[in-house]
Amino acid sequence: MMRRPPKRWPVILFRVAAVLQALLVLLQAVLAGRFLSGGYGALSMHSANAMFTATVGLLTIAAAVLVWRPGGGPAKLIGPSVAMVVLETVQITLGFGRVLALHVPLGTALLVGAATLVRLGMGLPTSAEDEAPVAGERVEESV
Amino acid sequence: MADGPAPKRGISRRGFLGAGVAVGVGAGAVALGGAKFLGTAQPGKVLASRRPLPKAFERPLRLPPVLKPTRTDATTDYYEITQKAADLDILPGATTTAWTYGGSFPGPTIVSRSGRRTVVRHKNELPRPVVVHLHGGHTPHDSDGYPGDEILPAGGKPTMVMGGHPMPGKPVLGGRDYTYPMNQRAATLWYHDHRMGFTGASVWRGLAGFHLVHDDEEERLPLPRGDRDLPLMIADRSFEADGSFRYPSLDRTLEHMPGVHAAHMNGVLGDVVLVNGVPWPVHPVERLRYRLRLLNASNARNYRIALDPPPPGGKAMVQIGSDGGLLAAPIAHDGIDAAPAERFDVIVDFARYRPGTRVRLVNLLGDGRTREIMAFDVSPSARAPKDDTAVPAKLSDLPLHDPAKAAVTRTFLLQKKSGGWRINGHEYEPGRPLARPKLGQLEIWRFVTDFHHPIHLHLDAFQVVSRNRRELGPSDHGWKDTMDLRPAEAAEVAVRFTDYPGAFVFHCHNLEHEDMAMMADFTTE
Repeated sequence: MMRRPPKRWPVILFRVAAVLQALLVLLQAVLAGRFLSGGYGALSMHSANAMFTATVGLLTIAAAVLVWRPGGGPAKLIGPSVAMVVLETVQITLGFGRVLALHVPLGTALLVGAATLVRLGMGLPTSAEDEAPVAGERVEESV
Repeated sequence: MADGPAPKRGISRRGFLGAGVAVGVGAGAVALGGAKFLGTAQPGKVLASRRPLPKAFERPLRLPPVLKPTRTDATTDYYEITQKAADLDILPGATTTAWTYGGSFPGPTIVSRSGRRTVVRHKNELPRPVVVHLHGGHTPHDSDGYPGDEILPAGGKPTMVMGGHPMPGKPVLGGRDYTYPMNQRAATLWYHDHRMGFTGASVWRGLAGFHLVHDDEEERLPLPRGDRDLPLMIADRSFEADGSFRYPSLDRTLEHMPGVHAAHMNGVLGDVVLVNGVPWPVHPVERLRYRLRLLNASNARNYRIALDPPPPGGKAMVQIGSDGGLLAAPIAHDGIDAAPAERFDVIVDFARYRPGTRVRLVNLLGDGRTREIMAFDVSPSARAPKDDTAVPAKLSDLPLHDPAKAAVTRTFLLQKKSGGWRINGHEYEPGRPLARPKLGQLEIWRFVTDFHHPIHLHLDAFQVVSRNRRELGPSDHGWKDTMDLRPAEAAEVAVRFTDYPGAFVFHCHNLEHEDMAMMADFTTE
């Protein structure tokens, strides 16, 4: 049961990727709102930012894997990170297909998902910042 | 992973997956709610008739009479139309008092020759002011039917804008000459009323007719003509118990207060589908090619027009023309999306059907009775007559606008705000142009929408450049003067206004939207 906290650098990488993804998902909502207010250019920005968001999603998956190996941390970040990219792909398809009745609610769900990844990332201990593995383990368990 | 005990705090992976499952279940429930919810909602609300609906496919299709000129000279054909009330035989067992062009609905068809001037004198014997607009006409300001240029009835007063002041324009008493230079391609145009604030009610009562333009280019093609060239004006209507047209006007006298009751502000839909003024007509056809000039003359109803059954191999309708005349090349469709005021010239080859087949023209966006439009009864004769018509692979040399050469880009937001329909936040105010395009200059006009808005530009046809920054939709090809924008869409069109300086309008052709202020002036200079 006792486990050493994961290496610091992959955790930081994951945190950066997760925060970036969350900001981009939020930006998607901002751009959609701007388009609906008549901002013509916002629609193509919304479309481009969707691709960018999914790309950062892939980066997040990679970071989640690195946290696990060689980081020595838990693998629990990988599943949700993959789920995000899968849902983002569905979201892009729905958007281009103009299935707005699903596109809008899935958009809000993606924002919740992105915030969840950030929380999971912030909840990870790292070996460099935590010299007391026992305390770290306790935090980890209670996450 | 996670070999530790179950998480107790925050959103865990399990929580995340739970949320995912919830979203999935929610999406599933939504999907079960039907494609109706997932698909694009259609505009308008049905106004139910107060008498039993007539049976379908009992009455023969009528073709509107072709108007004869009262005189012609070297350059011009002169016509005369008296706008008057007339009792029409639309329904069994009742007459319908309509507002008509010359006593019929649709009004008489005017046939012009490209390059030859047409002058139409309209006399107004109706009780209210009228304005005539030739939809798709390349027409100078004076004859375009600008809202202030009314023809007043004897003793009538001009329509006032909200606030009680008169509109800019030149109202005349009794009659007006509309001069159409007809320097334009062969196309299916139509004329209809355009009175400020009351267009929806006036057109609903019957003020609409075809105006066809022919030219040499079209005539050289081996297309079906004569009684195999059928103009079809598709319009939905509702009826009162006494057979009169039913319409939810705020002001039944159509004198002061424009618009309709709030429940119908997104459009009035009828529950009876008329084609050339006949409810669900039937028309016999030989096993030959026919040219159908489809016009959606409904106030607000959208159609997805298809043939049922489809012929073997599908692609029943081969589109050869759009609002502004021939396409460069034919486009084969299974169904055609037609928003109010859009026209589609299609060729249907009934030789693809077995003898004796009843082929229904249907509206895939309709419900119940409004799913049907009309029927064609294919001749039972076993031997198909010889067809000397064809649909050439190339129809026309269509010059394409190059959007990269546009000098100006303008953006228009079509949106409901504070109980009115607006363009760029403004309700229509005659005399206050939202754009001043230079004649001869290529421009990009962008439209962004909240709900369905079929946008119509007066003076010149345009070419659609993109829809949602992507390729054109199936209804967007060729020269257009009206394009349908679906909810939350953005489109770019390239337009060059030419020849005639002055004030013109552009507006949503959902007539209830138009009457409730979704219109704007542009002034060419």
